[in-house]
Amino acid sequence: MWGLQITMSCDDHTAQNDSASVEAIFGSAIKDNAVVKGYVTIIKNEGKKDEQVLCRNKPNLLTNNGRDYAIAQFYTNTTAGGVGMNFIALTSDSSGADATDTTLPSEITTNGLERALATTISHSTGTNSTTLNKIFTASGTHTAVQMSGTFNQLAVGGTIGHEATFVAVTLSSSDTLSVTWTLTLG
Amino acid sequence: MGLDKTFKDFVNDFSCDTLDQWIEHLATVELTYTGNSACVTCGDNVEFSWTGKLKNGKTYPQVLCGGCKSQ
Repeated sequence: MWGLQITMSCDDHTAQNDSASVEAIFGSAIKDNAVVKGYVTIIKNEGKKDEQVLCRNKPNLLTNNGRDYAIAQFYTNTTAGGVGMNFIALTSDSSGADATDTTLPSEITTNGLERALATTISHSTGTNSTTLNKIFTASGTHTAVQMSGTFNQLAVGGTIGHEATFVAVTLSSSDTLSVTWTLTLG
Repeated sequence: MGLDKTFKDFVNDFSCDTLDQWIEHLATVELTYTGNSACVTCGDNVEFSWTGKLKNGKTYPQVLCGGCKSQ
């Protein structure tokens, strides 16, 4: 049986690039998620004098479950579709982003950094770009926050769509963390 | 040849590979942005459909709610 393999080189777990080579081989599988891409920007205390950019426009990772969810929305659902991947979560877990993750490990659930619906959800008509943004405000101390993910529901659980790591940061009460996902499809 | 890079503007036949290039492009062309966001003044949720050149260095417009706009 003919299959199509898309091979992309990656700098680390979270990186994708565009040096895609496409070759037809027997019985292969898609190895990376070239059609859905995303970039993450995370800024502590944006607009304040102690602003700190933790990552800017960093390529993220589409999880295997996220890919399956997208495929279900596009092709295989036979009933009404599901909610978009527009809930943003954070964690202090240091294990890194992994396409096989089905949860965000040790997801933060307290003190202002719990999973939340993106405050900004914007798409520009006639383009393939969508932006999600949420500004979290810590109501307690959080140490070494360093990874974010997107989900399709507010409560812990659901399907994880994207993951990205960033420079570990400690937040005190009233510190803000602006998380922006810029996603492309097609 | 079709648009073959990461960010694609089908209306203006443009594509690019980096977010910085994309943000530069959004500053030069009028596009319509739809969605919802927090009012930049009071924080209330606002549904918007906004057309224009985006010159704020972001990929979405920053919006005001009706109440704040009228003040």
